[in-house]
Amino acid sequence: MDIIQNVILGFSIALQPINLLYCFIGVLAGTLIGVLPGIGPVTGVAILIPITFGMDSITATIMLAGIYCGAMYGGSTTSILINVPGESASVMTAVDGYQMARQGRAGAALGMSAIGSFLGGTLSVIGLMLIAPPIAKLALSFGPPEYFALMLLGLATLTRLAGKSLYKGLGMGFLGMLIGTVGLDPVAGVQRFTFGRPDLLDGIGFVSVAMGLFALGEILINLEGSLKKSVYSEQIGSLLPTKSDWLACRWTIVRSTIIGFLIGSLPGAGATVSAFMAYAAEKKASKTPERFGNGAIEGVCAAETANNAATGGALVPLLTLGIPSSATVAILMGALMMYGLRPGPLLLTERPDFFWGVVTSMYIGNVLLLILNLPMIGVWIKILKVPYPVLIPIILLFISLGAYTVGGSYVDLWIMFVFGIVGYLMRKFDYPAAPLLLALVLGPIMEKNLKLALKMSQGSLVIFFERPITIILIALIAVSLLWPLMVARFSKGKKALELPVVDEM
Amino acid sequence: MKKRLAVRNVVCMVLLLGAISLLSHATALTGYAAGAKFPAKPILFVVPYAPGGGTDIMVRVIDKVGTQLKVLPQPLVIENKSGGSGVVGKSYAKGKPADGYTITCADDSSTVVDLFGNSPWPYNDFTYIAKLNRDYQMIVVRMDSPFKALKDLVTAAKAKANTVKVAGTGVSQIDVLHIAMFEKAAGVKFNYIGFDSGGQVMTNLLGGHVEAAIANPGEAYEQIRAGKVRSLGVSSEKRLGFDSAVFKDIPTWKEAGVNVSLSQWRGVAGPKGMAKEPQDWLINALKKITDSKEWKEQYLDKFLQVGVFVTGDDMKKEAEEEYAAYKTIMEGAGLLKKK
Amino acid sequence: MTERTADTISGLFLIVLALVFGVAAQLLPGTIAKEFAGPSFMPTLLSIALAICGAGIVFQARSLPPANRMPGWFASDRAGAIRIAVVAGATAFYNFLLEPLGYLIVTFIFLTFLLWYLKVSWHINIAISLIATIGTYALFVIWLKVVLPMGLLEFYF
Repeated sequence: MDIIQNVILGFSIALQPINLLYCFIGVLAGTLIGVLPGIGPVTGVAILIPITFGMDSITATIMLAGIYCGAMYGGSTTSILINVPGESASVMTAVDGYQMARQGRAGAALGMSAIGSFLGGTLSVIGLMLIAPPIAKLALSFGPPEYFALMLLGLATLTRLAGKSLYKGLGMGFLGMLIGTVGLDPVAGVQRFTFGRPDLLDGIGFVSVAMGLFALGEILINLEGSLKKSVYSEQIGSLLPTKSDWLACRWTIVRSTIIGFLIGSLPGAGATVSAFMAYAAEKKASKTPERFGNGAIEGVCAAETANNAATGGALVPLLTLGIPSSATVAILMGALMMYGLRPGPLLLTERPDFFWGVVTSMYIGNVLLLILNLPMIGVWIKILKVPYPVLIPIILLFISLGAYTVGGSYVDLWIMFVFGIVGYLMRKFDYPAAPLLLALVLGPIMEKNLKLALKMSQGSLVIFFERPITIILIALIAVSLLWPLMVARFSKGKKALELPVVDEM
Repeated sequence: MKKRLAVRNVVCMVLLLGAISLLSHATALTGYAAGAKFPAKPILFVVPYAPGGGTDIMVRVIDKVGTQLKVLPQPLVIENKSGGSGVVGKSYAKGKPADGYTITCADDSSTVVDLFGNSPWPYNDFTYIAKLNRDYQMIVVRMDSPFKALKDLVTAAKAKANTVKVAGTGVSQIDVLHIAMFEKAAGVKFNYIGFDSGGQVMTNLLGGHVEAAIANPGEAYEQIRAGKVRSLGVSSEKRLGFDSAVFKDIPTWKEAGVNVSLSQWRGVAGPKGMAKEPQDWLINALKKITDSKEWKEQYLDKFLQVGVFVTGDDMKKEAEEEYAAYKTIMEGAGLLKKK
Repeated sequence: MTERTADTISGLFLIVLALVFGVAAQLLPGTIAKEFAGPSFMPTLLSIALAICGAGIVFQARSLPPANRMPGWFASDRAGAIRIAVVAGATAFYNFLLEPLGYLIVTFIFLTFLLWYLKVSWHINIAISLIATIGTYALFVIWLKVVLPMGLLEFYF
C-alpha cells in the first residue's frame, strides 16, 4: 500500500524531536495570536515568517502550519467569552457561543469548540491524505457560474437564519449585500458609494463590521438599566460538554467537516464561507432551529468544526495543483518559495518527504492543539469572573486595536463605531445580525461571479443551465426555498416547539 | 492590606516592564553614532499590499539581505497597509515627512490606478529612488488546448471578436492594459475575464473555463514544468534566461508575430521633496543590496524576476514615458474615463 | 414602546434607506466598456428588495396585538442613556485622538477615564490602565511589529 508507506514516511519526519518542538511552538504561538483581536491566521502567519528564516524548510513549514491551525482555533476563544470575533471565520462561533457563556456554559462552549476543531481538523487532514486528487478535480470544475450558484445557495439559507420575522431577516440580508456593494465594481471597475476615499475601494471591512455589531453593540445594550446586574450567569457550569451535548453534536461534526473540507478546497470561498454554510445547514437539520442564536451548542460546534476542516481543504489545491486557495495559503506559498521549494503539481513526486511530513505534522498539530487547549479552558473562563465595569474598557480597547490592526486604517475604527451603534439599535428593534454578516460575505462574491459568468457567455443566461454542477446547485436552491412551504403544508396545525427564551432583558 | 500589596506589586512590575522596553529602544538607537549623518534611526518601509504578495516578498528580501550585508545599520520597519491597489499605503507614506525615514514601493500600479481614475494624487508625485526589477507577461493555454502557437490563438480571435476568453488578474489593473496592448498589436479582440488573484486565474485555466490566460513567468513556471500548461509566448524583447528546460523554447511575442513587448516593474520611492543626501544614501544602499549574489539567489532567481537598476530622474523619465504610452492605448481601447 | 410602533418605525427607516441607496445607485457612472450588468444593476435590485422587506415589516406590524410591549425597552432609563452616550462618546474621542496624540497616551487616558466613570477603585484603575497600555504596546509593537500611531511620542520611538 502506497498510502501506508507514505504515512509512515510522514510520521517519521513529523515525529523527529525538532519538528515536534516547532510544531508545538507554532501551535502555541498560533493560539495566542489568534486570541489577539485583528490578528487572524493571515496576519499571524505573515508576522511570524521572518522567525522561520534559517530553519530547515520542512521544519519551518511545519511551524507555519501549526500557526495556521492554532490561529484558526484561537479566534473562537474571544468570540465565546466576550462576543469579539477577532477574525472573520469565527463570527458564527460568537452567535451561539457568547449566549452559552452568558448562561454559564462557557466551559462547554470552549470545550466543544476545541474538540470540534480537533475533529474537523483531523478528519480534513485524513481527507487530504486520501482523496486530495479527486477533490482537486472537483475544485477545478468550479468556474464563475458554479461559484455564483454556490453563493446563491448560501444566500438561500438566509431564510433559515432569519429568526422570528422573515421580513426582518431578509431585510438585514439585503442590507448586508448593499453594504457589500461599497467599493470598486467587481467587473466594470467603477467606484460605488466610496465618497472618493481610497480606503473604501476594497469595500467595508468585514471584521470591523462584525466586531461593531457584536461586541460594541453588546456593551452598549448592557449599559442600560442597572450596572450592578450580572451579564454572565453567576454559576459556571462544567468545564466540558455534557453527555447530551455530545449526543446533540455527533452528526453535526460529520456534516460540518464535509462542508468545511469541500468549501475550503475551493479557491476563493474559504473558512468564513464554510463556517456560515455549516451553521446554516445545521440549523436546517435541527429539530429545534429556534434554539440557534440563543445558545445552541450545535451552532458552536458546526462553525468551529467547519472552519478548521477548511484548513485541511485549503491545502488541497496548494499541494496538488500548486495553487493557493486562500489568502493564508497564498502567504504559506510565498514562504515555501522563500525556503527554496516550488509548490506545484510536481511537489508531491519530487519531494514526498516534504508533502507527507507537513500533512502528518498537521495531524499532530491538531492533537497538540487539543492537549494544549483543554486545560486552558479553566483559565479562560476566569475572565467571566472579572466585574463587568472593569471588562468594558478592556473589551473596547481590544476591539479598537483589532479594528485598527486588521486594516491599518482609521476608516476601520469608524466603521466599527458606526456598526456598534447600528448593532445597538438592531438589538433594541429586534433585528438579527447574522443574516447581515452572511450577506456581507457572500454578496460581493456572488455579484462578481454573476458578472463574470455573464461576461463569459456574452450576456446569455443559458450558461447557468448547461453545466451539471450549476444545475445541481440550482436544484438544491429550489428545494431549500420550497422545503419550508412543503413542510408547513404537511404539518399544518402542529405548532412548532416553543422553548423558553433565556435571559430576556 | 493584602490586596493593596498585590496592587503595589503589579504597579512595580509594570514600571519595570516599561523601563525595560524604553531601555531596549535606547540601546536600539545607540547603534547609530550620535550626530551622525543619515540614517539616525530605523527606516520605515510602507508596503502598500498585503503580506505574502510579490512586493511584500521583495521588501522582506531587501531587509534580510541589507541587514546581512550590514548595508542597513538596523532592520527596516516594515508596515503593510493594503487596499485600493496600493493607493492606501502609498497615500499613508506620502503623508509622512520626506526625510528619507519613510519609503514605499514604486510600481506601474500607480500609473494604472491614476489612468483608471482611482488615485487621489498624480502617479509621479514621488521622489523616485530606484527601479529594481522587471517582470514579464506570458500568454498561456492548457496543454490539451488546440492552440499550439500564438498565431493559432490570434487566428481564432480574429475569426470572431470577443469569443476567445482570456483570464487575467484584476479589473482596472495592469493586466487589462497589457491585454489591450496585445490586442492592438495583433489586431484582435479577446473577451477578458478579470479574476481576483493569480491563483483563481490558474484554476480557471486548468478547469477549462477560459481558453487562455495572461500570467507572469513566476506564476506559470511550475505549471509549465509539470506539463499542465503551455506558454505561447513571452512579452520580453528577447527570450528569458531562467530554467532553460522550460524557457529556452518559449518565443517572444515579437518572434511569434505579435509586434509588442511590455513589462511590469517594481522599485522604491519616497514622499515628494526628499533631500539629496537621504536619497543618495538610499540609492547607494539599494545598489549594494541588488548587486549582491544573495539578492540574485534569494529574490531574482527564486521568483523569476529580471534585475534592473534605474535611479532618480531616469526612473521618473521612464515612468512618464510609460504613462504616455499607456494613455494612448487606453484611449484607443475606449477605456479612458472622460474627465 | 409597543412592538407595533417599533416595527413601524424600523420598517419605515429601512424603506428610506432603500430609497437613498436606490437613488444613489442611479447616479453611478455608467461603464465605457460593454457590460451585461452594469455597476448600478446590483444596488438597484437590492434597494428594491430592501424596500419590499421594509414594507413587509410595516405591514406585518399592523397585525401585531397593540398591547405587546417591546422587550428591553424601559419606561425611563435616563441613567442608562447617559452611560451609553458617555461610553460611545469616549470611543469616538479615542478614534479622533489616536492619530494626533498617539497610541500610548490616548489609550491610557481612555482606560483611566472609563474605569473612573464606571466607578472602579483608583488602585485597580491605574494598575489596569498601565498594564493594558504597556502590555498591548509590548505585545503588538515590540514583539509583533505592528505599527501603531505614536503621535506626540513619535520622536522617541
